[in-house]
Amino acid sequence: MRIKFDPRSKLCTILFASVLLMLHLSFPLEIFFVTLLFFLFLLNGDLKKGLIYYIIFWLLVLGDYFILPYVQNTWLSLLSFLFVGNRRLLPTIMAASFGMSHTKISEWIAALKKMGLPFAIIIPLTVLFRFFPTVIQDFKSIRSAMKYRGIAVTTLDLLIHPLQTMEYIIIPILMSAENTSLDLSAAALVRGIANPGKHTSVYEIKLRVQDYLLISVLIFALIGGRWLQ
Amino acid sequence: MKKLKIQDYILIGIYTAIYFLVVCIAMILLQFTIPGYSSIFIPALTALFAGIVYLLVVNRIPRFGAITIMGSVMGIFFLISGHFPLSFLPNIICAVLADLLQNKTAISMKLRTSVSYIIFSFGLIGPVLPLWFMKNAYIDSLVARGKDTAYIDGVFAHITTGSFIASFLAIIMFSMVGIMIGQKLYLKHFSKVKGKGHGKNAHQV
Repeated sequence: MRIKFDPRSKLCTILFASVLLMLHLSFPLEIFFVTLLFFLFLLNGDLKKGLIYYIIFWLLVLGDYFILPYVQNTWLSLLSFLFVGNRRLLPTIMAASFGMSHTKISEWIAALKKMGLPFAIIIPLTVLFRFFPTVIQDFKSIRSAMKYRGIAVTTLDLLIHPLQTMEYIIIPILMSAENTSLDLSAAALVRGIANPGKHTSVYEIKLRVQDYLLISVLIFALIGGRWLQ
Repeated sequence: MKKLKIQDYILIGIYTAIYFLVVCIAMILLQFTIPGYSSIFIPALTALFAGIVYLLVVNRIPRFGAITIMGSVMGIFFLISGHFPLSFLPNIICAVLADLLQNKTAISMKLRTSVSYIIFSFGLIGPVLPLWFMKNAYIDSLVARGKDTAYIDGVFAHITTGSFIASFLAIIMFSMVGIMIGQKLYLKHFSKVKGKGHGKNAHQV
């Protein structure tokens, strides 16, 4: 069983996690928030993913706990700094992972449209979302073409000559960008992107009970947590 | 002022995707080469490589708005994909500043492009900022467990300020080098290509 959340309440969760990163949090409160995110994963039907994050969190806590007595040593303290720092970074990663799973790109776009984002941002953003997998595909094809011609055969070669890597990979993609943009514009115009009226979406974007619940829990947790401290 | 057309928006989207690919490559390169909190050099390394992308945006869409849109889209994309939630504001602010400089002032083209590129590169500062909060969190966690923080505070004050300064200097230097590489690549590969916004000013970049 899984509960579907609106993209907007997912965005709220991501923002909430970002705010968490900036606040001073006591340790019990931190556990509470991470557990909260873990439950969101459960509700979303991602038990495995949620468990992995939750275990990583506790491993980071444990690692820090064992290093703490030797914290006067500079290198160990650097290590423990990384443990604590990454632990604080974890909620944002969790929130984003929660936000991206089970929400289609079209739903995100529909939600952003509904939030009143200007047209000038929506179009490039849609292109970015849609085009990025193609770029990755191009990247892979170029890599195999390079290997075929004996240029930078191993990944190590790519690392050793970063500038050559960049030139050989980015220039072909940029060259084809002009054509791609013409194709995409034609396709988009045919589908009525220039229509000045209201655009509709297949996906119904509506805040439901669970969304209101989630948003109010987040706000109360934030205010309550601050107040308790 | 000419307005942007649908095709321009789509072209901006494509260039943003390529720019984002450069960011990803920089991220992967860094993860292999520098262990630990390597993301503080993401903006610098991206700046080194993305000069050509920026030059193409400036040349193909020479109107106010293009760079702003690119930065904002990057910000929103970062926000949603959650890589660096804090990169939202710096991206937009730096993009608007770079755009103003690029399209609303009348300094010589070459200088203008270089300086606006440096400003634009600072938009990626998002990945560096968490370091600051991480340091605070670390000191908090030590205080909470009754550790003596004077020593730690001293060490980390040096490390964090040091890495901020290193990161900022690296951005400035690498984006200057990056835009020079970009100009070279542009002359080598794109100066003969016919396209929008091309023609008489193609060689002035």
